[in-house]
Amino acid sequence: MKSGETAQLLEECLQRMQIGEPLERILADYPERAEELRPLLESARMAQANALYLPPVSGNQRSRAQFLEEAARQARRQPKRAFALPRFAPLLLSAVMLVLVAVFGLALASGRSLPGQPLYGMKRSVEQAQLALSGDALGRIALEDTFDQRRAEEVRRLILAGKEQPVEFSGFLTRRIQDGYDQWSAGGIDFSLSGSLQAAAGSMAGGYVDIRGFVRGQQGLEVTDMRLRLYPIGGILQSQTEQEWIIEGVRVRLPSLAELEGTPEVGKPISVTAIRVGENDFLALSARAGRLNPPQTPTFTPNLITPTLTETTVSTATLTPQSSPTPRPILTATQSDDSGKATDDDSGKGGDDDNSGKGGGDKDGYKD
Amino acid sequence: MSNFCLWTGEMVRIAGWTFPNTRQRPFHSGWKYNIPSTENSLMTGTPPTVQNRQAQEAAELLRRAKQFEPQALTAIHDALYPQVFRYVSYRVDDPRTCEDITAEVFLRLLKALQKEDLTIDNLRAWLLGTAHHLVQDFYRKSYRHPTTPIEHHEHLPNGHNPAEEAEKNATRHQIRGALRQLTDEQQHVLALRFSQELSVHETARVMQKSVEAVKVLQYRALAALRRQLERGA
Repeated sequence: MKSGETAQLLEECLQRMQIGEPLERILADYPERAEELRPLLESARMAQANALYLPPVSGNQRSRAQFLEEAARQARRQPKRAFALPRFAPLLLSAVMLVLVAVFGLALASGRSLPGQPLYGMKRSVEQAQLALSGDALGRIALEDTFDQRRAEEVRRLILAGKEQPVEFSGFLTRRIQDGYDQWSAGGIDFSLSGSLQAAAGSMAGGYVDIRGFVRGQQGLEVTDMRLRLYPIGGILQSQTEQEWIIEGVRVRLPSLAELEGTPEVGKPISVTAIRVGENDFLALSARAGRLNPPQTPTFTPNLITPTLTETTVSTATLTPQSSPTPRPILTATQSDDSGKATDDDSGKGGDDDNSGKGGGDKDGYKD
Repeated sequence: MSNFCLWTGEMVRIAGWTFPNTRQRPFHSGWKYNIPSTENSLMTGTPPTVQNRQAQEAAELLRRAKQFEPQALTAIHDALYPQVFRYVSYRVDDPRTCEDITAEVFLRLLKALQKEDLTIDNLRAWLLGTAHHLVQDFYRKSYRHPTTPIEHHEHLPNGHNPAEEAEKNATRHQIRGALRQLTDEQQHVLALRFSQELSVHETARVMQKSVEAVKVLQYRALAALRRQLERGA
């Protein structure tokens, strides 16, 4: 017979013994297994006989005293908390604090980084995050101005350090005659322009431009590309006249050629794409009433730039800014190129007369 | 006095609930257990509705014990001390060592109350499991540092004839000697079945084995014990 069956039979006999049935009577029920079961059941009876001791009262008392004393000690060691924290909470908290300190430290350290340095990407990312979180249109423009000043300061430092590095910066484009040559400046950075670029820049002078170029060590800045910056301004129209709108504190002038979609109403949302000709002076290129997202035309890159005047794109631009807090020259720049018509649909338009300039806007942005 | 009554009441409840399936069976001419009368009386049959209420109260008692409330801790200690002690004394000769091991089991319970998911249902299994490990540790150390065993047990039940007790002690000593020769698991299963009167199902739960495995283990343990006793004789 298998041991499993014997084990089962033994268990049945043990249960009968447990309720006080005599051994002989149990074995009588299994005569053919009696010889096998008897020694096992006798062993069980002896094993049971081993368990005779009363728990000592003194031992119980000593154990209880120790038990309560240790409990009191542990209770003192663990003050009650209002809520239970998981066991790994301190570790988690330390890790979170460490990460926060590291990120904050890196963000601080990146504040003075220059283009080409490891932390510069983080600096720009932090700025992008700040822009994304900015509130109204005026606040966003003020923030962009702050960041533009940083870019200009970076270029200045790179020039002083004699570094060679591709750069981007922005500012109002101005021109002055020095020693018979045109000297250009934007964001406080002076630079010269090659022939074709100089001709194009004439159409943008006085406007707020985005510039891309290279710092060539002590030789200064070499500009490779320059565009008028397009500002997407969206918000509630606070007031309007024939000549201008105030959109959430931003003054936007309306050239006669500005494209208008819908009928603007005070108190209703409106979105405008404009160029900037003064600190708080914007010229609308197109507007869409009733919606907060900017118009499709001209197409623009949200953060920066569109109407382009490069060496290959030629157009006619006339900027005749009127009143502006920043004194600037009134300039007219003219270039001729048939290819400019091909991008007319996407182009930005500046000026408020019939000869208004057209920036040859393109969806591709800068050519690298 | 009122505190004493409260403790007693809680001991009644926890003992009645914690071991509902292991109440002391009525022994007539069979095995005799030296169970304290109070403890024995606590383990009589209880209607299911009363058991539910007792279960809730026992769970509440455990919750309070987890907050180190002395009254709840005392109730749990006093209700379970005899069972843990009986288990340990089944496997260890020296009564002082039995007391030390039993006390250590309860000290470890304090840490477990904070860290482990102990319920009123698995509390006794935890205590007996911990007692088993401490007994193992004790023998492991004893093998490294052998000591002279104490032959005479100082905690003899009162009211017995010394000559009769001496004879019983001799028999017990022989049984213990034989038990010591068994494997650790065999000793464990016999201690649970015969010192605690656990059913085979409860034993399986404490040992974390199947019922069938426990039955086979028990069969082998008794067969081995028989061989050892015959060899000793």
